[in-house]
Amino acid sequence: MPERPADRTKELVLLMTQHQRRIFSYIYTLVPDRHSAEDILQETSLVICEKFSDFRTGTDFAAWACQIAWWQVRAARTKFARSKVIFDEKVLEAVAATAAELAPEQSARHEALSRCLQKLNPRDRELLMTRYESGVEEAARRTNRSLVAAYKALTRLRKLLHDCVTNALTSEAAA
Amino acid sequence: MNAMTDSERVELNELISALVDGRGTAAEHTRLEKMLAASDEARRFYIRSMAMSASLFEHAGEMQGELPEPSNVVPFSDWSRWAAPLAAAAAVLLGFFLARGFLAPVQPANAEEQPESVAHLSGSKDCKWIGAAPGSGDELTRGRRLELESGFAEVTFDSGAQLTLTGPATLDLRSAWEAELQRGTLKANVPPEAIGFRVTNAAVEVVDLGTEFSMTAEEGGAAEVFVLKGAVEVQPHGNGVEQPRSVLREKQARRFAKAGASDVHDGDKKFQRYAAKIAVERMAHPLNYVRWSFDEGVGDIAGAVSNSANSSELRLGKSGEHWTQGRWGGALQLNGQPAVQVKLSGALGRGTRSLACWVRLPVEASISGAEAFLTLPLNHPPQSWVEFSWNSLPGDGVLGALRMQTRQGAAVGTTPLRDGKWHHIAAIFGQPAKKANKALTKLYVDGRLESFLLKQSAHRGSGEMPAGLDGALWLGGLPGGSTGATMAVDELLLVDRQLSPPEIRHLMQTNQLISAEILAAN
Repeated sequence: MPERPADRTKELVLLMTQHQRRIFSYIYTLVPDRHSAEDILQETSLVICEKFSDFRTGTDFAAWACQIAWWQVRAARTKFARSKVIFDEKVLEAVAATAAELAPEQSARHEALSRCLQKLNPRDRELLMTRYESGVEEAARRTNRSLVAAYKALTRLRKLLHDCVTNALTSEAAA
Repeated sequence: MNAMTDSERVELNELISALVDGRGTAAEHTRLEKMLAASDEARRFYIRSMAMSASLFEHAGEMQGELPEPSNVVPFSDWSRWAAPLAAAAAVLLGFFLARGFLAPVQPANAEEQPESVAHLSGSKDCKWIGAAPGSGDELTRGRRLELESGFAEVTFDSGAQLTLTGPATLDLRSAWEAELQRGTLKANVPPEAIGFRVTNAAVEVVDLGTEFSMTAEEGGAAEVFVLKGAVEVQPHGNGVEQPRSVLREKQARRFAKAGASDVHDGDKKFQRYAAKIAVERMAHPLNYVRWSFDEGVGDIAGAVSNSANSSELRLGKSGEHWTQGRWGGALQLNGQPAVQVKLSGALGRGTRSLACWVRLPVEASISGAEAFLTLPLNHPPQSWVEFSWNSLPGDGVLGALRMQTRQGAAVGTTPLRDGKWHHIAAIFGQPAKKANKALTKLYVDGRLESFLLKQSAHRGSGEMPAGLDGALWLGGLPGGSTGATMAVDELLLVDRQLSPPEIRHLMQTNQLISAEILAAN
């Protein structure tokens, strides 16, 4: 019996709920500017809606959605051609290929990041959370740092978290 | 490239961090590209770092504070206005984005920073006040109680609703859309743009459906409602229990008391009394303005009319077709070319100002093309500016609605503009001189107040004020940008004070600034 449209809509929303971060992350990796990446995510989502009848239930939704996102990023290249937030075509393709390879580990890294964030001291955590919520200036203001000091601290904290997440996954794999 | 060295890893981390924070230089971008092209390890590090930042955006969003005040939440009826034209699945998804929290509605930056002004005293006659007396034109804040001992006072709410109080009367101002009559008599004149305005008291809640009505409130708690034109919806509160809502139409009146609703005693006489025009005195407040009508139709210069600025013509550049059919005569067609500027002088360049124009956006304009179409400097805080665009971030509000962005946050309207039709927009912005920490924010679309809050949201890009913005208005995009907005603009007006809702409505309906004579006669 064919599925009812209401079931398909429910399925679409469910799949988007599960995979939206991964799709955004993929786009953000290719277009490293949050607002531009969000714009492309919106356009991608609309295309996903339009083409959802082509999606076969049971196959990899995130991979299918990232394919759509890829073409949206390509289409946006014209707009970003003179901007610094887009890569050279060859680099873009190489990054996209590597991103596809790393896709399976993303959820685990996201979960590990939550745990690593808890290990930061409160002032560093506030700096980081405010940075991602309200921008660097506000983060510097709230934590009584100069802008330059905030940039330096953020660079340090990102490396710290990156290593923490990698170590956590390595330990889990070894266990 | 083989395995990266430690110093390369450090360098790569710094390059990525600079990129994420929007402070990377062109040289650093080139260096990053080179590293990514050459090394699989670099690409893996880069992708994991960017994915981590994407996760951090989500974590930070999840840690945001409490929900917005109910008054800041767009009511369902307004959602349906923009959601309806979308395909069902797309609407579901957009709703999903808003509900999901990933692109969560941003919160007011700080309650103290929110504008408190909800109305102003627009007219008066023989007023004697109890307590602090408001002056003509004074802004009236949320929660303010007006106690009129005798005389007549006209209060214009930011929504456009006008209440004329007859003393003795006590009125509490709840918001731009609501007032509570404690005692006395008021007459409400509510234009179509303010439908939904409500007046409450202990006995009844009256919701306007586009009308003129009178209401009296007795000290004992009873109230009488008289509909002079149109209709109102009433909800009695008798015995402290919510009663069924009903609609009162023109020439109908009801009395509401604890014991319940009843007919009004001496209704005809009271109708006659309340229907009589109350002639309050209104003061016309002077303004300086500059205006571009865009009626040239040929050439590459848009001339201006001003009562204060010397030369305000806009030089549009040699390339492309600049003109199109407008809402009133011709209009300016923006085709994505870089922005053009005009210097602002005197009060037009600083302080509280209003801006109004007609805009026409292409149907379903591309989301990635949501460029600022107007940019102006603000005098406070230093190095700050305001950008007008249409909203491309559903997390901040309705997709395609008018968006006003400042360093303190973004205000987003509720009417989707991407429909190929002309819409009148008016915005009030800037910092009143006496209230350095109170940014004025009011957005009107097609005469209706759609937003009065700046919610936390940052400018795009580095957050630095674009070079060349100081002292100038930029039309079509941001200074120095290689691309600009795609849309049509007509009858652009900048004035050096706040325009009132009746002034905005008059401008929208007649394309003229309201004169002192018309103001007095209305």
